[in-house]
Amino acid sequence: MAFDLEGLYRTTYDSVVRFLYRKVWDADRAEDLAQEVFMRALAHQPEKPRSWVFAVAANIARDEARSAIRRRRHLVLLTHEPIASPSPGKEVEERMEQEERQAEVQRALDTLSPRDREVLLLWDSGLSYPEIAEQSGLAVGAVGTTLARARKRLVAAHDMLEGSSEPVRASARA
Amino acid sequence: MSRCARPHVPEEEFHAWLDGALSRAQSAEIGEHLLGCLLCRAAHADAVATRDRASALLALAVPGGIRRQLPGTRRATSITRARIAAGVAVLVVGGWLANQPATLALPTPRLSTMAFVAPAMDARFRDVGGLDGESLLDPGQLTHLAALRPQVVTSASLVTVTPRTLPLAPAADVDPAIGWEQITWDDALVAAGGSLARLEGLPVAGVRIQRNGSGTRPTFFVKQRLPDGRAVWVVEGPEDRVEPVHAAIEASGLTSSLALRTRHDYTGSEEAPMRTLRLVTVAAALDKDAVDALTVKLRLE
Repeated sequence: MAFDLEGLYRTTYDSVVRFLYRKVWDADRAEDLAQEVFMRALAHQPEKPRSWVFAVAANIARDEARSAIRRRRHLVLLTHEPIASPSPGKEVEERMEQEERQAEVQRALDTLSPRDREVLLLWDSGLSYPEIAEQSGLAVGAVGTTLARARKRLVAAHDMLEGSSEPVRASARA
Repeated sequence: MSRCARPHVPEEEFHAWLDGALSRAQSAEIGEHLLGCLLCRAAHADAVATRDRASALLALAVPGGIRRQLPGTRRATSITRARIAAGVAVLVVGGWLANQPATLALPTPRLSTMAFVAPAMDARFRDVGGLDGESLLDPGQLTHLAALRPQVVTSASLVTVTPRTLPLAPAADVDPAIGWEQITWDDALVAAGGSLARLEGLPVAGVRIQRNGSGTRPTFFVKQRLPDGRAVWVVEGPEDRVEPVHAAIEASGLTSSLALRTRHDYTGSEEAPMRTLRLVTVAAALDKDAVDALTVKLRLE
């Protein structure tokens, strides 16, 4: 069957970007990496393109994480420079709250084991149990077990983080 | 008190069930078990809550610009030619049902097997036309129809949830438009041997029957209306007859509930009785959780 990049792009791009975002936590970078994934797909024309793009996305995200650590060493000095910022209006407050909520979920996700996190993100990206099994190396029957555990741990970790951050917020408001 | 014919359902099995990853038979088994097991119903509710909460958290963890899918929604798999054919057949049946007048409003019978719910189907099926095959719809149209699924269920008895597209069941090589006829509820009840599934408290708007011959129990579509006027279908029939219809309806973009099994029926003559198993399901263009929630209203006459 002919490789249908356009169809693959149309049906998978958004999921790949979300998947990558939760790996690199940078929207622009996630979109750049997603483009890279589809460029590679065009070059390789894989037989199972849907599973393939997520496998490549996971690999690219791992490489990205390594290089991000290297970049951070150079950027750390710049964080002390004052940055001109708009006056804090309602939009800014809302954005900050949204970012805070995102950060809490990010921290909760980071508490999961790599395998649990991977399976959860693959499921959320729309992959079926057999596709997740193929990519993660789990048996199909173990995907449900892993997902159930990952979901519980994510919720529990988030609740714990939320609880522990409340006193800080309260004191900040006081 | 719990009445459990099988061991309790493991938590991971509930998650797989909610994710649409179990076979029809496994799903039916769980659905049947839940009817008689309070412990598992509580565990199921926990699994639903955990799953929904995790999906909501994951949806939070992306910026608005790339948050295109709603929490917990799943991408439909590609629509194959066979699925399209099955979908067209279902749309034809749906069109037929949608055009039947709402003539009956009967008191409800008691517990049963399988049903379909579909809101706003009349508008969606208006342009389907005749019975002459795939030229009526192309994949784009099916996708478009799926996109018209409502966001929430407005009936107070249902859960308000986001729309969801489940992985489609394998398309079946059947055409449910063939051999279906319209009958009254009373005639349907007679043909069903006095036991026919429907949703309690909702008026019956029409019944369609497929006679399966040689003493086998017929297959039925019972069209009903939700309080807000949306159409709901309960489908029931012998296991081997309902499964393909069920797959075809899902292929059209509707969501069907978990399939429930009734006690065995004995059909045929007294000299040669046949032991059969009925499946009952509710299906609609609603979220899976909402359609499953409707099954609590299923009753058998």
